[in-house]
Amino acid sequence: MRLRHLNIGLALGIASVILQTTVFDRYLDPFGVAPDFVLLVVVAASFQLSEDAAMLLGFSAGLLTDLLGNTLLGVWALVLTVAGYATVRIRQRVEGNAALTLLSVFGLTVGGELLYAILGTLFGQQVFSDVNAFKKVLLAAVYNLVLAAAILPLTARLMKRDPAVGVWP
Amino acid sequence: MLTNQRFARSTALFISLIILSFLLMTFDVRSEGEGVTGTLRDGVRTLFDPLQSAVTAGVRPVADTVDALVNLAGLRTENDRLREQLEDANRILAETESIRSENEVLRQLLQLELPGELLSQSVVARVQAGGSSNFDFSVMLNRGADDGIAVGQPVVNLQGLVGRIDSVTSSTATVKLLTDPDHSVAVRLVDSGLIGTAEGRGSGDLKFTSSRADGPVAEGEVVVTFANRYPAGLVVGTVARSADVTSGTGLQTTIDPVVDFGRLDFVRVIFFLPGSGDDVPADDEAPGEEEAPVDGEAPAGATP
Repeated sequence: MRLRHLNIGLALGIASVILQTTVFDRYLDPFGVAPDFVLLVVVAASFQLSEDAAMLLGFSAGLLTDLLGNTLLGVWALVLTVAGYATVRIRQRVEGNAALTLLSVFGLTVGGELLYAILGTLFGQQVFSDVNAFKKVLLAAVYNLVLAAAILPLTARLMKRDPAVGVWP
Repeated sequence: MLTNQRFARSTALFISLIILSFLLMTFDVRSEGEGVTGTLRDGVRTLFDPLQSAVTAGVRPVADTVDALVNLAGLRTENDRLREQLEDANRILAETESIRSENEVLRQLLQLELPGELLSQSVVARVQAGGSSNFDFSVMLNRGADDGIAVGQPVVNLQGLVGRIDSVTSSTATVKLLTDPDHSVAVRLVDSGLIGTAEGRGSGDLKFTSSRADGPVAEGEVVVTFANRYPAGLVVGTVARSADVTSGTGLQTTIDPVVDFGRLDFVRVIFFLPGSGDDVPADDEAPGEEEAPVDGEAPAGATP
């Protein structure tokens, strides 16, 4: 595990949670739906990190989301851990193909939001009582897909990974 | 061999983190947000409070400028409309005096709190952060227990009822918005006097239900809080569509909230707790209401 890259990932994770709660949820929410920016950053960083680092980043960013938000502690931690793990599992198949990469971000966002909704419902939160639940899931995934075009290259640049080296071991 | 070892180690870490997450969820549900998890939340929120405030302070002017530019095109039309409204208002003002005295009597009859009394026992706060996701229906305020804020207190803005305080640290407070599906509030329709419950539906309008309606309700009727966990008379919204009693299910319709939850800024926290007002009847003492609705949490809610 490269510690420097994990540190950069954690800094990005913290920044994304702050931006999610102060900017995206309050000001950048077209049609009343904000992008799931934290999930996007975790997925983007997981394209660059080792498997363990990706999961630790997902768990940490998720835990911070739970602590700063008004959600059950551990829900986002689990969802983002799974998102990080899933990203590492699929990245070898999609890397090099921009369309597939963006599509995977869309799919991971839909999967992450649905997992959150299911877990929340299992633990007594009325997520599916939201009349716009599915609209929110789909719109957030579309926004993430659009933002991914900028965030994925930016994250790769920050991590300074040499494309010739390939996926982190 | 090395790859297999790494895969086994990663799988073990993955399973450990999943189990840890489930333990946290179970612990949080069991402790109902109090205890260790509550302390942890308080600490993290206090720690990140300055950072969130700084980011919000930096972003707000930009967002306001963008909003102003977006709205510029509609200002001329809005101006014409307002001129017409002003003429109407001047005409109505002449008719208002008699209505005002009548309103005073009705207000006393309905045991409504006077705004002046509420204002003297409240504190103004500013929203410094929104929810953490599209399914988090809360906002964080820049004032907390040090300013007298406590869990359960109602929060209003110039438009009407925003929600209630759900958790507090020394310097911040989290407001559970009216739109939260876990949140419900006992309400009264001003014209018909019908009492019922308004429940959040995640976004947009609220669901109104009443099991004791004996006639239809009209679109546009003003909906206010009914004395219980909130002071009576706080404006919640207006009836979104006319409805009539349906056999077996009572009356159901929707309420358009008066508050624009997407653009909350300054709010007022009222130092009112359930049962703290002398004129506020307890759940089982609501006048003439054997089945008086209990506000606060929707029936299937998990938190207190």
